Amino acid sequence: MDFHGGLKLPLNHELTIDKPLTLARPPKKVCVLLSQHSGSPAVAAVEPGARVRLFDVIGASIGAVSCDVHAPVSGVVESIGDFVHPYYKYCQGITIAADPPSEADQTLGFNEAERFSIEEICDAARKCSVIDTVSNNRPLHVKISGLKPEAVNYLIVSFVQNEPYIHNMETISHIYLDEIMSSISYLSAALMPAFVFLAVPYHMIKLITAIDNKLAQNRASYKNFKIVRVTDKYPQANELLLASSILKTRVTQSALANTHKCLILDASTMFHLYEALKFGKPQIECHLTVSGYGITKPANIKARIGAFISDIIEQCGGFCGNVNSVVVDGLMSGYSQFTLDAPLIKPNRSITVIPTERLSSSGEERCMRCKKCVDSCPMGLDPARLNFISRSGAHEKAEGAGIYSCIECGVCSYICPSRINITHSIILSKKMIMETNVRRRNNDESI
Amino acid sequence: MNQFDLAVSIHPYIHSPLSKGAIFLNRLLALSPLALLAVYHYGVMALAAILTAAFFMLLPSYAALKLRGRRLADIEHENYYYALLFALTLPAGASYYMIAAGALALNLLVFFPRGSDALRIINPIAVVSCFLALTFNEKLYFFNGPRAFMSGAWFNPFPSGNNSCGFLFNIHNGEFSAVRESAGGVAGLLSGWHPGHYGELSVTLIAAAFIFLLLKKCVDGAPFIGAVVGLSAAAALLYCGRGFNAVMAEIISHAFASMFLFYSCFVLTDYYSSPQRYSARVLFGALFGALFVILCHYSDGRDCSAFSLAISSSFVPLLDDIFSSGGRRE
Repeated sequence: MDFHGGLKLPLNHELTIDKPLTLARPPKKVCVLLSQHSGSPAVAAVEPGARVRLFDVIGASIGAVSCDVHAPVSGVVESIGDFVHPYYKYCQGITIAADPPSEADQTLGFNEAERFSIEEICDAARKCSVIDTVSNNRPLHVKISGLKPEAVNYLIVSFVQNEPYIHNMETISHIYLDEIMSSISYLSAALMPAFVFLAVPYHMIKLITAIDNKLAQNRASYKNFKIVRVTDKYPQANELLLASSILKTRVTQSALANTHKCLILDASTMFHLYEALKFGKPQIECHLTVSGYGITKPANIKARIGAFISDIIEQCGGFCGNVNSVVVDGLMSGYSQFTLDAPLIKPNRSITVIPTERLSSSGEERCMRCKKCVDSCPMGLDPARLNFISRSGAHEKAEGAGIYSCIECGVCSYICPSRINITHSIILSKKMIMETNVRRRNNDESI
Repeated sequence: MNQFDLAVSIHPYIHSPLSKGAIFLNRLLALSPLALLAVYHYGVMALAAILTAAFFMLLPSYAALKLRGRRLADIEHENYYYALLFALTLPAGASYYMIAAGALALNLLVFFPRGSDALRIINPIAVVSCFLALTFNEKLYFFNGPRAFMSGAWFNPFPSGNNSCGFLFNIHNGEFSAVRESAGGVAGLLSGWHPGHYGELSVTLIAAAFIFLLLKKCVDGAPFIGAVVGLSAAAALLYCGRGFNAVMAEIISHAFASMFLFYSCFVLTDYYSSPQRYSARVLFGALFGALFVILCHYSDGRDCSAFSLAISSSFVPLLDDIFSSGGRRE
């Protein structure tokens, strides 16, 4: 299964692929950001000085696309204020001075039920604030609410992760395969799709074998399940490209839900959904691949949200050599941090530390129209033209050139021999167009 | 660690190892054996021609760097590549005035208007070659293009003392026309490949250089594929009355004309003046291939590559418009 364009990137998994999943040290202080998901940030539901227990709701959802935020530790609320967010913004966060961890904190019930209706699943996802990383961190209950049984043709569960240094999906899938498969079967029983596709990249051979064995053990439960081997190319994990590869047809955002009736989720979301359904456990943890040649002891870490990036790096032995950049969530689509005091949030999946000598430092040169960006663009756009339009300031022309189809995967910038940061130009154009539209709307309203 | 030591930029944070400098360096490396072969075969004249072309090609760029207070070492590999490419298309016995004029014109066309979208209809090498043919050619026949190092008077299909060697000799030699009429004869022609023959060695080096660049991803293969397809289709249409084997022989003859091969591998694939989309590039190449056959058929010049490419390039904006895509529109 393949898609047009894209690239095979060097995965560099050798640093961490054989390392076990380690728990992060219990933090002494956490800062829980109220914007853990896309949509409206939550609103603080506690006051400074209040005592909170593990899993308590400390941020209440507001608006249609929002979800609660839960305390990842028991402790006392120190302060509520603006904090730096790993995704280049500031938002409100709640700082909690954590109590020492105790066994009582971990007690959760167990739901013996083996069948759930879609409403129950939606309710559990909402109460436990599970987010869906495939659709840009949208709350899961928002994505699946309103779905009726047999209204979904294809349920696609993605095990795909083709970015360098990151393999938290593969790590979680190996360790929690039973839970993930159970969660998929609950959702499949509730929605009754025609097919359930488990999309696994070619290079995850051990995972393919493990899933194959799992399906073989219980054919009756998994009768409409099918493993689909997808390409190793980046950005195969994007939901549109995944659907296109599997369904072998071009898929747009609206056609995904309306025409093809596809529901795409990823394995880590299914794992958190399992915890929500069976234990009522809110999503307060993230699984990270801490890697890169700038970190002393690369590791796979299970950390609580609100823990600081600096604490995780310290647990992994600190920096090794001259470090220039710390990137969260992947070298292709992630965010370089200007401070290590940024707290972790739910969708975080990696911390990559790059030593100075490994960064390409040459400046931009003139575009030579090599067309490598055009040939590699998975959305069929002309990134060179979009870059030219953006830099000439004629941002409104970019709309006609299909700029809103751009998924900002970074493939064009990666492949450009002239080292032009095309992704930056496209993001800038989108912002400028949005500002212009907002200004026009405000002017129309004031008239 | 001091947080202010961390570099912040937009993603992606890694890049392909293939840089602009590396692409043009690889291209220089690929063309070097051809240049060395030309110098070996033709002697000091060829070396003087290459050096003259390089000097006048680099002179404006050096001057521009000096005016901006930059070092001469900052000159891009692109300059050297175009200088060598131009030198290898020079006609036999080209005067130094011709070389100098061509190189200066090439520098102007390559480096100055490159910001303009509209000027992509100009393929610099093709346009300069046409300009030189029209300005300096004594006969002033419109389609009588300049003959390069690898063809014309300096390319001798009849090596002295040996009248029956080489695949290209067999193709062009009328005494073997009877052989061309049978399928076995065509296979026999192909098996007559003679690497010691200058023309065939240069063709071999062109092919090897192109394959090297394809493997290194430093050249685009789409126009070349189109050129071969276009040439084959045009030859089939023009010569279909003479039988299948004659058509095959004409296709092979045209395809292995060294200037056609050189142009379709290195000049047609010029990044700046080819269309954006893959399908458009194949069609662009096909147009070049077809025009090449047509111009060769209706003119008395053997190498019509430059004029074919100059005409094909004028269709680049149209091809871009036809094949443009707005992405996965809703």
